[in-house]
Amino acid sequence: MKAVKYGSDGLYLDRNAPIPEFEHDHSVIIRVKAVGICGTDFDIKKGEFPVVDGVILGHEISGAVHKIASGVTDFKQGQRVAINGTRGCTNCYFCNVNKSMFCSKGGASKYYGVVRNGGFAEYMVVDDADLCAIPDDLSFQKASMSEPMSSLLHILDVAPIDDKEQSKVLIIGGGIAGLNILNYLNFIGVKNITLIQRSAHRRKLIADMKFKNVTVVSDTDLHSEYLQNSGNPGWGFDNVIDCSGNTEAIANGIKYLRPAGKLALYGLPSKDVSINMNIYDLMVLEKCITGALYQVNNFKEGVDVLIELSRAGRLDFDNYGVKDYTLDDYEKAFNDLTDRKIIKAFILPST
Amino acid sequence: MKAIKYNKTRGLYMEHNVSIPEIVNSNNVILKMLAAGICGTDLSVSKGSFPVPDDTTLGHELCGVVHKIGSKVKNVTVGQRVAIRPTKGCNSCYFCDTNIPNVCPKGGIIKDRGFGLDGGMAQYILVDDVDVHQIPDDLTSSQAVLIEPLSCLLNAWKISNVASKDHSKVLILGGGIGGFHLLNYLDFIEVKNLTICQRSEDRRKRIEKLGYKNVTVVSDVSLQEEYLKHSEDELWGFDNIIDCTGNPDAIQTAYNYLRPGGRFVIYGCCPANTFIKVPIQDLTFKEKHISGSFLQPYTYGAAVENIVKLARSGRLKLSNYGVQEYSIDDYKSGFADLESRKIIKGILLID
Repeated sequence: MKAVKYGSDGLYLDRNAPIPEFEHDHSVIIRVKAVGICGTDFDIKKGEFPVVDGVILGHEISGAVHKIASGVTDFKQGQRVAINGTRGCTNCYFCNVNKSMFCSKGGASKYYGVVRNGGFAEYMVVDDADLCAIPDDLSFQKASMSEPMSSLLHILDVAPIDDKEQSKVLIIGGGIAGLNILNYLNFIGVKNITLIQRSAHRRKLIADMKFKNVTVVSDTDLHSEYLQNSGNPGWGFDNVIDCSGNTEAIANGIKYLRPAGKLALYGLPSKDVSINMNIYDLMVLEKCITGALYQVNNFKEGVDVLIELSRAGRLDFDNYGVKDYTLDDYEKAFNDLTDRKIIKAFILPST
Repeated sequence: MKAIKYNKTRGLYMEHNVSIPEIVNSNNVILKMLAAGICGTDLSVSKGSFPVPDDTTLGHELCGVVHKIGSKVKNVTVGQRVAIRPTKGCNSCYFCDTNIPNVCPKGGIIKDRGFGLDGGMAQYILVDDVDVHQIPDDLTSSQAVLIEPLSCLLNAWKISNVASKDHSKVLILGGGIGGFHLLNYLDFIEVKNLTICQRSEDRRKRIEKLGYKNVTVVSDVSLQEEYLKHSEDELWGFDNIIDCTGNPDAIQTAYNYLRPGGRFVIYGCCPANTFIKVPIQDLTFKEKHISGSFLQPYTYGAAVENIVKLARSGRLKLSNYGVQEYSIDDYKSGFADLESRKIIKGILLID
């Protein structure tokens, strides 16, 4: 079968990858229908996010059940499903304390598209427990967004927004991730959202989406505001979510926090980079900085939220600038994203 | 009356002719002071590294006797012995509304007696009725002094958000009064995997002599050796670290001791304008948290209850803990003995 893999020279299309087989009696072979390209795939491409050499990429996956092993009872052939790439074992310390991504048998150590073969392929093998059924009115493309949606919900678990009416929320970065978060928070009624987006072109794109209760600003304008308000202890944000991975943005993100504010790092910073953090300031103002990269025990919740958003007409992709590609065209997909011709790309391996 | 004050030119000094405070509002209470603790932060104030307005009377760990009450005061009567909460919020801002009055820009440290307002290292102090809590006769005034630090430690413990008292691995950095008081309390509430790191041998010996069952006492050197021995072991480390040293170098080193998903709470007061380097990719990948903890948000009442329980279960024999009492006239010895680490806490007896 065809599959897009990671190698030391970069990504490549393998036309003769073996079709996967059952691994145990709860295996399911999936006919992959849609897989999203994520910001992390770009980090992988650059060698910043470690993956297994030769792994098939693609971790935002949906498809149809193709074949089931003898022990599978919950799913049947042809069933439409979304795939949880980082399910934990449910039986170790980390799984028991809601940190399943650090499970040594599951979690990030089994990550489809990073450690184990993922969805940039015609077929993939998963465990039946990784599957979540999806309704017919949710397209495969939308269903593949379960993975980013569940990690978005996880951010809100580790750095909660305490009060939807009053908390001031800042999203740094208006790419795919920032927009998803903006869309969701706006949908659930968070009233004070600001988004920083450097490029004027993207700022206009977001402004045209006409979100209510959302302010879109440039990084320079927000920094001026911060400097102007240096004597005002009430200025700032209660929640800052960084989607950029940019060192300077993160260092500023801490400064933009109000007392007791929380900075969640969702974008992946570069390796070996540190920020200088004022430790007295952090303590006396009870600020918090936390990593928030994965999904943890909330994949099903992610699917449910996606269904709700879709049925409320809040996942209308045309507004975002979205396109479908074949596996053969994967390079064009990455390039179109890099050139900012589109905001989101889906690979449909079965076409 | 006598009062211990600080100003930038004179340093720490005793003023003899301070006017005795009078009732101003109908909810005021005037206390005749019995005991005031000397805290590590008071030491920082006396050395100029923790800023307070000039000529503020120090003392925020307090026990006194009700001397005069305003016309609307109902919760205490003249002659009762009470513990005194030194700070509160303004009750009418976002922070007070969301239960974090300790970072209230109009309350918090600004109205903290002993820092922003005159404190209790004096013969009398003026507070409000909501600030005083009755204490039982079997609790000594010196034991009551330990209520305020426990109220702040309860905040740090809450922010630590420990996942499992039985399984989470907890490290306390520093065996001064902060670390020791926390250790004593956590052992009492049956946190099972406690490690305390203390540099000096004499302080380690004091803790070891008390024979806590579930506590490992280590030096900074041996802990670093452990870390280096386990540098390949992803599972080595601590789920929760609470810094009680206020030493940026100790904090910087101990960051490495966090396990994946670990939470680091900065409780000890570092000097103003000190920084640590935070490796942000590691923080993101391993979803680590660093949070500040400052003062106490509504934990004072719980601290009163817990101090009474600790005392009644024989866990607050101050002679065992390197805590020494001084007359207020001998305040300089108290500060000096704390500075030279002869003691872990000094208590000024005032009456």
